[in-house]
Amino acid sequence: MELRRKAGSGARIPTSSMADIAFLLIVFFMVTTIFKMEQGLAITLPRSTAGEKIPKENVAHIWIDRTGVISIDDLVVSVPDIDYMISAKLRENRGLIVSFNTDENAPYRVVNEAMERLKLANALRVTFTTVPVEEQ
Amino acid sequence: MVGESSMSDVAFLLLIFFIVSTTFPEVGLPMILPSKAGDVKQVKRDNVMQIVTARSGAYFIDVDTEPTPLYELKGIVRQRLTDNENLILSLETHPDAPYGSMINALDEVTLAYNELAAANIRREHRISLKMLDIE
Repeated sequence: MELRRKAGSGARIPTSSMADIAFLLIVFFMVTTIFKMEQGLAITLPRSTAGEKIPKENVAHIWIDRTGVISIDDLVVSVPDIDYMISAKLRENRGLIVSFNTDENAPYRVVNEAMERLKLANALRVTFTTVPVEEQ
Repeated sequence: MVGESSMSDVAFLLLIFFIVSTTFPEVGLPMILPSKAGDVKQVKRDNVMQIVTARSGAYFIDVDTEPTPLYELKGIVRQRLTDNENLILSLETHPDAPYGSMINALDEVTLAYNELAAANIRREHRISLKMLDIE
C-alpha cells in the first residue's frame, strides 16, 4: 500500500493570461486618456508658400470664422475681451506667440481689431496660420 | 497559451491610437506687431511702397488706378527692393476685404524677401569661396 504523501504539490500561478491582463491595462489607459485639444471653429485657412513652422509650445490660438466670430480657448469672445484674455496668458508665459486661425473669407476688419487689442496687451509676436502649398 | 487571434485587434488598436494622437506641424506667416503709441517713426515718402488691398480683393500699388494681379506682385516687390534697400512695405487692407487676400499679398512679399535674402547669401558665399581659392 502506498501511504506516503507526495512531497509538496507545487503551487503554480498561471502565467499565460498575464499578457491578457497587461493588454487590458493598456486598453484601459488608452480609453481613459483624454487629449487636451482645442475644438476651435470651422474655418478654411488661407494658403501660403512662404509659411514657416509654428512651434508647438508658447502658442495661443485665436480663431476667427468667416462671419467674424472670435473664439479663444473654445470660448466665444468679443473684441474687447481679447486683450484681457491674452494678457492673462502673457503673464504666465512671456514668450507667447499668438496664432491667428482665421477663415480666408473673414472680413479683414475683425483681424485688424484683434491685432489692435494684441498691441494693447503687448502681445507683439503673432503668426497667421496657413495651409502650406508647394510652389510650382 | 496566449490567445493569438486577438493580437491583430491589439495591433489595430495601437494603430488607431497613434493616428488619433498624431498632430501635424502648423505652418504660418510670423510677424512682430509694432508696439503701442509713442513708437511712431517718420519715414521718407520715397522709401514707402504701398500695397493696397481693395474691398474686392484686388491689389493696387501706390496710387495706381489699375489693379496689379497677384502673380506680378512678387516680381515688383523684388525689383523695388533691389532698387532701394531701405524700402518699407506698407500693406493696407480695406476693412471689408477678405482676410485671405491680405494673406496672399503678405505671402508674396515674404517670398520676395526670402528670395532676395537667399540670393544675397549665395553671393556672399561665392565671394568667400573665391577668397579660399586665393589662399
